[in-house]
Amino acid sequence: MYDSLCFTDFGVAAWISKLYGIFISKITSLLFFLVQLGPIPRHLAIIMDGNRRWAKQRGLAPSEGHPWGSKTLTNALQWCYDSGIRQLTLFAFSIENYKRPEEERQRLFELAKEKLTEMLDSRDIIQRYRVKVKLVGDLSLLPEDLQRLMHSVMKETAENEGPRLNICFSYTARDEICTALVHMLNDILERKLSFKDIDASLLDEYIARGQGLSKECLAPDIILRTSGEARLSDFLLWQSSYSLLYFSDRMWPDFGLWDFLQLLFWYQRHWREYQQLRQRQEHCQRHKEGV
Amino acid sequence: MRDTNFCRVNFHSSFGCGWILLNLQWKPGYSFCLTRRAPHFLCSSYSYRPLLDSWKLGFVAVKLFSRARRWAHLPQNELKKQFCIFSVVSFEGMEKAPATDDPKLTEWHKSPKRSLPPLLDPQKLPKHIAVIMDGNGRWGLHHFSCRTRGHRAGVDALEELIDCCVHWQIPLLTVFAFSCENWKRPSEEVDFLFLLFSEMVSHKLQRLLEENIRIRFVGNMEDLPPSLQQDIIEVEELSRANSSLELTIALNYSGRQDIVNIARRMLRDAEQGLLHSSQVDEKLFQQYMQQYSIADPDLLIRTGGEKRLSNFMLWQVAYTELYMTDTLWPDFTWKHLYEACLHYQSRKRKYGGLLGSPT
Repeated sequence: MYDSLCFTDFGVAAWISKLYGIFISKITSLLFFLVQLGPIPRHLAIIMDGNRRWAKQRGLAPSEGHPWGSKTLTNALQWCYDSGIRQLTLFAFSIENYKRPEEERQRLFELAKEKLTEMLDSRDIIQRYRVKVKLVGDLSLLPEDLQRLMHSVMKETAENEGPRLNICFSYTARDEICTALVHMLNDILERKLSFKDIDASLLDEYIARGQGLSKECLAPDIILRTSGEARLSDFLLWQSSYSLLYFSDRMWPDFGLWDFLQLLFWYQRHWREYQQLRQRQEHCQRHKEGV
Repeated sequence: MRDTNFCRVNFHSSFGCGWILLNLQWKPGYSFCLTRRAPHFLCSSYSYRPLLDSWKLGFVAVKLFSRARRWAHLPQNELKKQFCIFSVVSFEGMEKAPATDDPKLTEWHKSPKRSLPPLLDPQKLPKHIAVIMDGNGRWGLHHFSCRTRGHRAGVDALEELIDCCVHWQIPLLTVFAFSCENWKRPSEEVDFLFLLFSEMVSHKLQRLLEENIRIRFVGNMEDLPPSLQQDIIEVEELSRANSSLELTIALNYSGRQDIVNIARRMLRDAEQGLLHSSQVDEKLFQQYMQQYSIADPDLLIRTGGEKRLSNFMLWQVAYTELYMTDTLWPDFTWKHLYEACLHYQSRKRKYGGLLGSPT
């Protein structure tokens, strides 16, 4: 890029681009400061959709969109940390995605291995910000080496007290509910619980146990889906009963800082109603449990 | 979609303008403008006003001006190219004069609700529509300063929806009438709602029975007043044999409680030895859900502008297309349903796989 410039211009161009970089980072910090003046969601869930379509739009092979998607993911982690979101849940790979061609699946697994290996590196943002990573889903369906890597990442970050990151890999919500149900039924048949204990909060506990979380952090405040599709695709069905749904038309690799900030400002506009709703719902639940 | 339609726009002689109605999906990077090169447009300018403004699509009425012509035939694909739009639906042009000589379309213009509107493919219609009827209270407050009038108007809108579904041959319809959380509303409103429900069940549902509609109620029936429970059982019994539309009304329903109830049934069956705990998996749960509760909807419509599920059918909406609109429920007409079905038709449902690959 600097080939055509002469020696003195090279210095000026680098100086200008450095200044520009500083300017942009100051503006970004200002925007995050403004956003944090209002309420911030505690738990954000993202369905990262649109990688293949984005690649097709740019003339690449569809499975080449995924590495670009993972770059956006790294940015998103940074933005979540900067804006103070305490918990982030991502939908990386669904059990239904096993239907996709072998080549694409292998590519996705390779990408996952790369990302997880990076997470073990101490310079990665996961370690720097003390993020606790949890991988949720039916991990037994995955290849052995990927499973081992996942367990080592979870073990490595188990003691971290910073923000939480839950990655749903080989996951469907229905499978999650059924697994929790099977554990519950087994406990009941073994007489550890009685029939009349079965209610929504018990199932909540079993699902939370499956995810390794506490009951209160299960429900996301916002579910974001990119690429314009308006479906949940079997993601967090049990937990999404009162979550706000935000469907963005951008493809996931194109999802930028401004779109993220728009999401937060939208949440702040609807925050008051959302709070009232959550209070009513918690009141209802406590009333039921009391009875 | 086969493109056989023309829109006929009559330019009124005094002002030299006519209206067409466009269903817009804004494409990024395009601006909404008219080009002068089009042979069919001898229009000097246009203006537009948004109607039926919904969450993603918008119906926009475009006023075309032309001093020279009395009327113009505007082919749909030209309009699509000119305005960079998703589709053209010319209600106003079509209602005044049929757009083509196609006999089916001419029939449709005479009674728009009674048969399938143009551009809707009967194979691609949703087979099960679920509706969250939100916004009655706000509508009532806005128009009459009284929430209860809104609920009454909501019942009329529901009747229109049921009518449409019967004529467009949509086999299943589920509506969310009352949620477990609605008990928290002011007691006058809750009392009025139950009065409305008993009125509906005893009077209006008789009319629906005559139209061969099968009615089911789901939800926690024990908290309802006993007279209402009695009426419900009667209506379900009377309509059991009907077959034209299956209407499911979710009364005192909670999605989570539904899942818990199915779990209880499974446990009871497991205790009685009818099934083993190792047999419990997603497929079995799905079977139980379809048998004892509501089946999976294809399209979920939520009016009132809120973007959430509100604890309605959590298991079943795994792959349902969600359509959220800002229209309040009493304002929901067949045109809004048309828009929702058009939106559904344009979706590519892959269920996690890829289009065209064997699943």
